[in-house]
Amino acid sequence: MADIALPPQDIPVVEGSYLENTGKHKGLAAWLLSTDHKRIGIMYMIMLFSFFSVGVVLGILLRLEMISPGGKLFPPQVYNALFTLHGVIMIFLFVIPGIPVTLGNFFLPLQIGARDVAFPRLNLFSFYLYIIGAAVILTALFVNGLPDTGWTFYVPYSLRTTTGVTIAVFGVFIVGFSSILTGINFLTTIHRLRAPGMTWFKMPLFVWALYATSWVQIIATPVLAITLLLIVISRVFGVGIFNAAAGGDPVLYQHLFWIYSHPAVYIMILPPMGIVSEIIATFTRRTIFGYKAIAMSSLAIAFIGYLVWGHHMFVAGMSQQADMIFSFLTFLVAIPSGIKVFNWVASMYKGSIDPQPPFLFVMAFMVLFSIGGLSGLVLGSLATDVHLTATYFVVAHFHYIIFGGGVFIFFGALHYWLPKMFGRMYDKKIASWDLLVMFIGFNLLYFPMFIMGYEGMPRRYFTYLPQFETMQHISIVGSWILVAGLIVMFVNLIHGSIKGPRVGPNPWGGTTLEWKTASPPTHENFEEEPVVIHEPYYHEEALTR
Amino acid sequence: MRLLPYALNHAQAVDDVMRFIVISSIILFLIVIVTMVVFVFKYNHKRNPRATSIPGNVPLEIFWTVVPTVLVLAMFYVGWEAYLQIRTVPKNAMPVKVFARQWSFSFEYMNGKRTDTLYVPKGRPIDCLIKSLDVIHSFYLPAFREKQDALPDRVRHMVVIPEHLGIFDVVCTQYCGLDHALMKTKMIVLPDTTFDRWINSSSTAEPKVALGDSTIYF
Repeated sequence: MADIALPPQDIPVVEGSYLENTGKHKGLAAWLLSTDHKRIGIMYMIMLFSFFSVGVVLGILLRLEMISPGGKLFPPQVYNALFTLHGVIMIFLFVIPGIPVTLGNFFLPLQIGARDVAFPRLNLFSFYLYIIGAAVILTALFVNGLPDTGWTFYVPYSLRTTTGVTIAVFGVFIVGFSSILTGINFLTTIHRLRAPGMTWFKMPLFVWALYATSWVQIIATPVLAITLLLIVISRVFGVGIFNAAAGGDPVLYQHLFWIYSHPAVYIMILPPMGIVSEIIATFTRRTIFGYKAIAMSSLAIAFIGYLVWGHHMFVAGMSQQADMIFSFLTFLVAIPSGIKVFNWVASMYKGSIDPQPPFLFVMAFMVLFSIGGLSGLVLGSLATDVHLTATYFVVAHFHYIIFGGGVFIFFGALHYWLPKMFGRMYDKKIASWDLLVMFIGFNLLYFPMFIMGYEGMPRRYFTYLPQFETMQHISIVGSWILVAGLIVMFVNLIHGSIKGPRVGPNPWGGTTLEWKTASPPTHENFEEEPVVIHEPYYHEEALTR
Repeated sequence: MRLLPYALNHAQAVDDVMRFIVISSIILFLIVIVTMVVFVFKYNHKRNPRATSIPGNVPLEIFWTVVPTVLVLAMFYVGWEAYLQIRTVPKNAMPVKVFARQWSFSFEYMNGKRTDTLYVPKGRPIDCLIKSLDVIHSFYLPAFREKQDALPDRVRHMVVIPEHLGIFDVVCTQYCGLDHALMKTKMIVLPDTTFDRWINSSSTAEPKVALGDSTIYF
């Protein structure tokens, strides 16, 4: 707490920070060839947010098409390509790698008191696999026209279209390997490199979340890789695996696709859940309520999450028994998420809450994630899902979960850890007001989609019936407000990380290990290996009961 | 929750399930969010400079695990029950073949008559035999809260019971390429005598619909 009061000019510059080049390479090469987990994390972050920006621009254009019915802005072919690219870029290049490769890379070793991940070179290799995969996907844009299958590449359409699907799918395949290798790296790191004294139940909850996520990455991603390979084989060699006329089964593709892509949702949401616990524990100045329940619910979500993929296919024509079992399991997976939410609220009880920007992001998350999660109950129920699947309702639901839940916490985490990463602070007042702007924009953008979906507006339509015009317009205005907020946020964060006032090791009064080293940390992370005595959220000054 | 007009009992059942889930959800949402906001104000660091660390409370944690579990299982059950209505084909159902192709629907009746608009008699259960002639499509009747994917070389069933006269939208909801958004037609519910006269006539003309005596949705 002491250094909060210290004026910025009195804070000494950190000697040998990871931002200085000390190795044999100079300039850009010192970054591109670095195996330092912190530098790799920053490089990922630059790439991810570049793709995010592209995805946002595509999203804005998708909305803009709805300014009037009839698809007057873009012809159907272009609109279909836009939503495919928006999905592929956002899902495979932004939210799936997401928090683990960026903040996970940077903070996992710091939080467990390690010098680096278990396999630093493999880590750099994963980064380049990601870059190569992304480059391959982007190449698909320039060969045979833009892919227009939607991000799910459903067969048989994806086998028939003449656009660059094969290349795009192969790119996703490569990115998948990056994901698997990162998962293996993190698992080994967590198992082997924890500081002395850090038993499993003394690990920060972000580490628990990364642990659960890594298992999902390792076990689920190969299924995607195999599925995508089968598409490539079908397209290139004409093998009829998914072709009903040749004895194959198109629904088999959907099974294989969702066996990966549903657990992938938990790859997207588990890490943010971990960060929510971190931020709440820091800004309430007390220990988290139900630590073990939160840690175990991450594992429960990861486990049950494997068994619910069929809820994407309730109208695909599975058997009634399959529909029933998948619906049942889907409701079960809601329970651990609910438990987490209740524990987070209970963690605020009798805290000493300092609502700094990261905490405000958590409050926004609680609203948006709750709406997203509860709307998921509507979709888990068979009767309502049959009506609402493939409508705007689903679009609203998963944007509330992934964007409102996951990505808002990604932003919150940037506000939380940026002072640690760069040793400087952004403008907190701008950050807080800007969050309000983004929150309003977000709800204007996505909430009308729940209503339109219920009224029967199908997704992936370049046109709509006139009665949807008002709702579409509210949603479009929301998208502009949200984007304005995003721009202000990024400018504030980038400006803060370069020019902001300097901060000391622990500007928020956090209790986990990353706050016990310099801001920015040195190449070695810690001057000497830390020894862990207390549970992760032990606030010395707090009363105990 | 009556944003769409009712077209049959099934739609009402779906809306009832929807209402149950949405109202329970709003209550849960308010409990969580209001509690959070109250805590943030009440335990602001200015008012409460010293926090109290409470690591957990087993009875409380059991309570908020069990109650939501019971609640979601109830949601599961009502959803499952209403869903069975459209999957259980009644004995007296009239079969109609539904063909989907890029980018239109067509329909074939028992006696081989074909149309591009779906004509059905009021009050008689219809067993839609849904099939695609190319890629995957979805046969969606918003006013009936029903949809079913159309798969190539596979037949899937969906039961529709039209209980009101009227003209209803039929749209495709499984992305199927260029003009997916334009793949739509109408379902017209006729008085059963009108329907019978038309289906049994040798004329290939489609039935004349007197719009005056029917409700028009959309």
